[in-house]
Order: sequence, then structure tokens, then C-alpha cells
Amino acid sequence: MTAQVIEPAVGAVRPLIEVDAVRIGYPGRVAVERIDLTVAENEFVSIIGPSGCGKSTLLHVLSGLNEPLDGAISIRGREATGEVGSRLRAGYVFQDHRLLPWRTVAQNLDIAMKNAGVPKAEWTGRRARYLALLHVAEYENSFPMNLSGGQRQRVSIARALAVEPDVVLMDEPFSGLDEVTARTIRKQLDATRSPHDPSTVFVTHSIREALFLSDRVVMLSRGPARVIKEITIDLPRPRVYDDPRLVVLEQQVVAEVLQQWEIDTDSGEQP
Amino acid sequence: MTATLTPPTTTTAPGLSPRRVRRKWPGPAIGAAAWLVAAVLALAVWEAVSRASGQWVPSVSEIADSLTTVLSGPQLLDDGLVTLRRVALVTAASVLGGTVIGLAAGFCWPLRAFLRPILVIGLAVPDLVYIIMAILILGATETSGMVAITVAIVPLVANVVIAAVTDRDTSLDEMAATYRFGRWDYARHVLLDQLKPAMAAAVRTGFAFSWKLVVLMETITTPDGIGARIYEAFRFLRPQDMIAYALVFIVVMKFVEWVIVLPLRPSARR
Repeated sequence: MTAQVIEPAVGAVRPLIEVDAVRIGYPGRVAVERIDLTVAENEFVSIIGPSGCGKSTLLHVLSGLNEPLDGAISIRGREATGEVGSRLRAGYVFQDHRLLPWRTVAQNLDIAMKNAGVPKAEWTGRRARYLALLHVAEYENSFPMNLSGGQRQRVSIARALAVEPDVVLMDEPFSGLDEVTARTIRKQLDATRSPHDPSTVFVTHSIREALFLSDRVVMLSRGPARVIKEITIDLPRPRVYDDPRLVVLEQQVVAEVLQQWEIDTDSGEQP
Repeated sequence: MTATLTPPTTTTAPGLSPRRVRRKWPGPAIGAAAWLVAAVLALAVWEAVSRASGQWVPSVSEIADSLTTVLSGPQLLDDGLVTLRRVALVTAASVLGGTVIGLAAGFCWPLRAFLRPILVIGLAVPDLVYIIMAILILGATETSGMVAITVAIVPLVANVVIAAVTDRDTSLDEMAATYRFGRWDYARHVLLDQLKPAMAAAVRTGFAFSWKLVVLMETITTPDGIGARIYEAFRFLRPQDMIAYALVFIVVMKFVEWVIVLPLRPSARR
């Protein structure tokens, strides 16, 4: 296993997403100063950074909800700034489940698949496959509010996978769950990960979670964010959450993070 | 320090959650008995008031006789149908108008800001003023009264719908945008269920105002309908007929309200 700064490989296969010098903000505030990021096909990339550094804002841009102020975004090598939403099919897993409470689990998936253009003939098969993969198949006809928090989040992940996405965007999906449930779902995500799975961009505060799940971890600076380091994780899957190699790497990353993210008290910056 | 792990002890069968303790409502028999007692007491109070007033207030037996006459007469059905048609038209027009305005203003803040004072003033104007103004402008016709009542109820419905739209769960809007929901699917699967309680309230309020105002309007502008019969009974000093017509119509309206509003009530599955 290595932890290294990645230089872009010349002549490499075109990545799914290329984010080039993107600046993101709202009126009167810049959330992300300059981000350069690539996500390869089938790659699991985690983004870690301190609270409020613009991680979720970046996901909003990748899902087409927001547009960048500056910079360019390419999808499979073609310029797509301003039309990311129509060019990149995303499955989004939010911090909370965001299922429609008045529709059953099956209906929630069907509505998402319908709007993603998945042929109706495939709905039943895809629904069964992903609900079974996430261990919630028996709740197909239940309403979300009759499920536990963990089960709802599993359904939310199943919905994101069922829409046949180019990329799955996950915004701290386990932060609202208890540790045991979160670990169980993480394990399932890791164990079921195959080389044909869609690319995933995963935002988290948890360094161990990022190292455990990812092929690559992108570390952002305190906001306005920029990329300060990229770490490749070349451990084979399935992985063990308490793998000593992950523990050691986590310690190294934490030490670095403390230097990079620590609030500069001399400059008078307040948390 | 030692930590000992012991197997968990269970008092319930696996897979079963502990029983919830719920406050019990009275059974249907007790509920019916309570209604009966209340009705008998009300009748007794009415009878006492009638005797104390020196028969100016009709007695229970006089009202019962009048009720039998009204119910067996051929005019009730004709007048009842005329009033029902008016109530249905006014309710539909006011709910439709209020909903369209409420949806537009709920999603568009400049329109909301523009309409806010108009709706506040619209709600403050007494309903009778609308009816009188409509009669002055359009003449004492059926249409003028119905237009006036519709204009009086629209601000009420619009306010309810605006509140429901602005209070909606915007995180679901974000989810719908992320999954590229079309407009129809957004309206049907995301918005409609959130608006259902407000729509039920709007229909109920619109309907309740409609039939009372329609009866009032009929006493002023039309020769037919339940309102006209009540006014006729008033002119002939037959209060028992007025009360009989009112009672019959109240029962019909409550039944119609139950049939219209009940299907719109949001289910308890959230």
C-alpha cells in the first residue's frame, strides 16, 4: 500500500470526470477556491476536508445542481461545464435518506428509474438486485417511515445504484447512523464492490471510512478549498475495517491533517 | 477494572417489539350514548327556552311537525338541488382559483410579495360587502351572487395553499432535481402529497363558507333555493319552517362534506 501525491499520467485513458481549476461560490462568498480533480471510470474516490470547506458544494456541482463560477468540467474528455446534469447521470446518496415517505420502497426506486430513463422492463430486476445487495429486499413494499435509519439509508443507496448511474455521489451517507450500522453498510459496500461498478465520489469527515472504502482519497484544505494531497489505497477488496495497514495510514493522515486543518490561532481565525 | 459479557436476556419473543401502551378512546357504544345524552339535553334546553319565551321560540314538537312537512313536500328536493348546484359551483371555482393563485405565489416570491397585501385586504372585507358590491355592479342575479362568494373565498384558499407550498420539504426538491424528475412526476410524487393536508383544509373551508354564503345570497338575490325558502318562512313569521329547512340542509351539507373531504385526508403512513 502506498500513500503518494499523484501526477496525471500522460496518454492515460480519459477519465470519466475532469474538474479543472473550478471555483465555486455563492453571492458574496467563495466556497471552493480552486479544485483540480479527476475521477476514472469505476473508481471510488473519497473527498475529505474540514467542515465547511466546500465538499458538499463540489458534489452539487458534479450533480448539476450548481454551476461553477470559473473553471471547466469535462465528461469523458468532452467539455461539459454548464451541462453536467444532462451529460452525467448521477445517483445521489444524501446525508439523510430523502426517500418519499408516502411511496413504498419499490415505488421510490421505480420513480427514480423512470426519470433516469431506465427501460420499464428492467425495473423489477434492478430493484430486486440492488435491494437484495443492500439486504433490504424484504422491505420492498414497506413505507420508508416503517424502516430503521440504517434500512432507509440502504434503500437510498439502492436507489442511487438502480438508476444506472455514471457516477454515484455520496454526501456523508453514514454520518447520521450509529457506528455499528454504519460499519455494517460500509462492509457491504466494500465487499460487493466490483470492477464494473459505477464511479463513486464519496464525501466524508471520517478518515478511516475514506481509507477503507476508497481507491483514492483526495484531501482538501480549509475553505475556500483546494486539493492539498491525493492518496491511493491499493489494498485488495474485501478489506478489513481494522486492518493494521489502514490504522497506520490513518495515523499518518491524521498527523498531516492536524497540521493542515488546524485553526491558525495566531491569525485570529475563529472556529 | 473488568468487563463481563453476558448473553442478553429477552422478555419478548424474537422479532417482536414491546407492546406500546396507548390511551384508549371510548368504544363506539359509549360514544353513541354520549351523543344521545347530549342531543336529549339540547332538546330539553330548547323546550325550556321555548316555554320561557312564551312560544316566540317554536317548541320541539312544532319543529318536528314542520320538519315532517318540509321533508314530505315536493319543493325541498327542487330547492335543495338548486342550492347544491350553486354550492358545488362556488366551491369548485373558489378552490380552483385559490389553488392556482396559491401555487403560483408559493413558488414565485415577487408574486407572493405583490399578492400578500391584496389577500390580507381580501380576507378582511366582510362577505356581505362582496355580495352587495356584486349586486350593484352585475345586478341581482344568480351569477352576481356566485361571483361575489367565489371572490370572497379565493383569498382564504390561496393563503392556505401558499403556506403549504412555502413550508414544503425543500430537501425533497433537491432530491427530485438530482434524479431529474420531470414536472409531472415532481408534482405528483413530491408536491401533491405535501399539499394534501392543505388542500383538504382548503376544500373543507371553501365548502363550509360556500354553503353558508350561498344560502345568504339566495335570501337576497334569488326566488329559488333553500335560502329563498328560509327567507319566505321568515316573511310569513314561521320560525319552525326556517329551523326545519336549516336543519335538513345542515345534515345534507355535513354528509357532502364528509364524502368530499374524507378521501383527501392524508394517510398516517408517513
